[in-house]
Amino acid sequence: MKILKKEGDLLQLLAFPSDMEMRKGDYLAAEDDEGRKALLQVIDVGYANTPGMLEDLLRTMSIEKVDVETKADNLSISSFTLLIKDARMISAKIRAIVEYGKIAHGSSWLPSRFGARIRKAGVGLLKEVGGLTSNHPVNLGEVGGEAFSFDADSLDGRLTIVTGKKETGKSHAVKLICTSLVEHGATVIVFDVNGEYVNLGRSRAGSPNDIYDRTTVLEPGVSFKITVEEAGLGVILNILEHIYDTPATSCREFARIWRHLRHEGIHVTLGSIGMALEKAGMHDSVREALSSRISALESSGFFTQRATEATHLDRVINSSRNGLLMVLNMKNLFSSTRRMVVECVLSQLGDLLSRSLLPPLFLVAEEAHLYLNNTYWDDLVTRMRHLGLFPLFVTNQPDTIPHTVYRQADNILLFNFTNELDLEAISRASRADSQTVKTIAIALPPRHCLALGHLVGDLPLVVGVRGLNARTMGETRLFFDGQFGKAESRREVAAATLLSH
Amino acid sequence: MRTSLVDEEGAEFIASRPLKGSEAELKAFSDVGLASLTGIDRGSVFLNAVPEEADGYDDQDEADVATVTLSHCRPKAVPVEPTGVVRDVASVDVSSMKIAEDARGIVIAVRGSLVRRKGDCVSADVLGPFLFYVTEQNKDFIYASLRSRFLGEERPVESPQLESMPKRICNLFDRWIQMSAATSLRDSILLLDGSLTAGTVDSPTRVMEHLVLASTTNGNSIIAFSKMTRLRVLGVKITELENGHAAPYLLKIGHLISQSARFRCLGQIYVAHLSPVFYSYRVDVNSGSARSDAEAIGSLLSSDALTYGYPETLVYAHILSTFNKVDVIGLQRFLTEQMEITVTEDPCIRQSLFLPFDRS
Repeated sequence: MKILKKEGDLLQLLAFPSDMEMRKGDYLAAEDDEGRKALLQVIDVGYANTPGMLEDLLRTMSIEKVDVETKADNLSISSFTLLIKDARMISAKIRAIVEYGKIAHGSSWLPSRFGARIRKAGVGLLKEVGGLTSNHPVNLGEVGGEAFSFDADSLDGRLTIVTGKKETGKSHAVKLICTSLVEHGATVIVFDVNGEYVNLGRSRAGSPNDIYDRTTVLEPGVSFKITVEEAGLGVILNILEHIYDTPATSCREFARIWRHLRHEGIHVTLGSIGMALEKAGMHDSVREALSSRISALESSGFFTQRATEATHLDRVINSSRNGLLMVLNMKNLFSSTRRMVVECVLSQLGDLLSRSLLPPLFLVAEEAHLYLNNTYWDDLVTRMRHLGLFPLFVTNQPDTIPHTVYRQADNILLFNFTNELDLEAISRASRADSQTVKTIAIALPPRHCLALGHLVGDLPLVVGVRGLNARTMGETRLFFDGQFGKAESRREVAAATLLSH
Repeated sequence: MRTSLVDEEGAEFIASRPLKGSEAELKAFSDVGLASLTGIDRGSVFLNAVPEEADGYDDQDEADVATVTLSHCRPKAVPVEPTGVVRDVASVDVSSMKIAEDARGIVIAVRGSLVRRKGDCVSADVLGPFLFYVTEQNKDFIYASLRSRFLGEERPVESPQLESMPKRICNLFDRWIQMSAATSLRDSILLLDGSLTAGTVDSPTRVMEHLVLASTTNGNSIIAFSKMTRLRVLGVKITELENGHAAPYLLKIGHLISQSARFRCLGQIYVAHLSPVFYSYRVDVNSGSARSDAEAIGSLLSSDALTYGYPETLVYAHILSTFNKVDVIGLQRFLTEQMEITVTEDPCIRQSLFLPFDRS
């Protein structure tokens, strides 16, 4: 393998297919005898534009219908020629220049085109150059066939985005990270939209695993309820305004009633608010608007009238000092209820963290775009981070996350995207150049991600995510796997339905 | 590059390789080359050989020119038309290329091809490439060995100049493949790239007569195509001669040429206008089993596709034997790895001295 030319920070290398197996994202080290090396990342592998190649291809095409047999090629010279014809052109980005064991920022050293030794760079070298520590290792999988773990510290105090198209392994990677974080004693709260995390405490076989005792599943409206007083006026007003589209006048009346009840020393519940609403002097249209919204809040089942029935997040979270995975299972919730739960939980967490009643924690927001309104994006990535809440956003719609969020992302786990618009959205703000993002991400196989940011020491790495001995699948109801796919069963179901009527 | 065989006959045709049993000769050819390569000093530096412009003439050598005299007759047009009889067609071509050179000599590569067509079925044997390291010290040995092996000529002759060795080795190998094809094929049309002139150093009369005889005995016809020729009539290149006849037709010019005792063409010389537009070629025809030269050409029209009046199987033979830049790089890599030599670019004296003022 030889270096052909350099354009900007891109090196073009000539290689034979037999030199080494090369995949996009692999790292190479081009080094000299004096301990200097350039760390190069392969971003594309193409055909070398060998002189005469067009002529040769035309020649090959023109004799395609001829049955050719080569004779007396005793030295197998033809195989040498074939190698030349199949020569590869490897485009590789210069990620770092290392001089005598240290990254030389701004160095103009270049490896010799004729004398440089070019070899694959192993994980050890990448970690050394990236300055990666292993205080709390998270075994994510493999890089170039070698086991790779990152330090959980790189998620601590940081914003992480996990994105990729459907069924590429985003959630799997996040589940793996969650499990490792809990094993390291961290608190992880998951907004679980599809009920995928509820069985993380069990192995694939169904038996309890290492984090079983540290897993708590809360089901809003069933095992997770709060009082409106705990939620607070601000949150309820937010819910009314953003989720139920309540007009500003009605919100003002609601706030007036709330304050009146507090002033009178009456417990603020949906019931007491409803009664006060009946008596309060206001326009009928406002009364009707508020009445219907209060009914909606009641029917969600998330708000309880009894304080004893309410779940106190601080107690749940502080009950485990050795790590906790708290899953908020929002699988069967209406969209409005889901958003309501998120508003309340975020508000409570913010309050508890600001009063130092909770340890810093990680928040996994699955399908975040489904329930986070614009106000909360900024709140999460700015104020709440400072309070000790470190989000991991997981989404397959990168364009739904505001650019301001991307710009503040410390880590990105980028899974495959084929849509260029999606890649464009990420590349504009990720911690790697857009060419890297676009060329590598588009070719990622399932369960492989391009890791960017602090967790890889700003050396973009293609990681094959390992398996996890936990029940990681969501409970998807399938047509063909279930009884509805079988004609016989369909008839039985139809008969049973008729009988029941 | 496997063609889909339409029937058993096609499969049988593909399987029947005419050069079967010629392994010993090919090995001997290869061994001469290998022996010459042992003369290369490992670790030595070779220059990347700049391919020399071929003169382009397919006539064997200047002997062809020397034999031309003009009579007072005009060329006679012989109309030809497809006979409707489809015969097997075989074409032979060989090429050589200078791969590298050092102070003592040159490394050349030689490759030959024999292409056969039966209807839509086309099969080809590619022979080589064979490498030779030719120096002033070993050129006599190489030339004599090959003449002995391929032509059965034991009579000592002076070897050509070093620069002419690639073409001479090529010619000898070409003649051997032609001979192998003529003796192994039956009732076929054998197409050659060149002429049927006998009596030159690489085409001794005895050998050429043997070729023609073997061909005729086996019911074959030989048609030799020269794309470029030195033959001129009244100062006009024969391939420029026309008589207004609608193609396809032949212009018989053999009778305009008096042949010397030393050199003679073992076939009738024509200018073939087989395509309505370009091009015309010098064609030497030895009709063999065919009743006439026109019938032999007519059979060719029925048996092979023509591209600009040139037989497609000959095009294939040329394509398969010719070296291009990729081949040269591959061969240089072979030398680098196996012979442990270094191949570097030849510094151009002219460029060094005169650029940027020299003409480009």
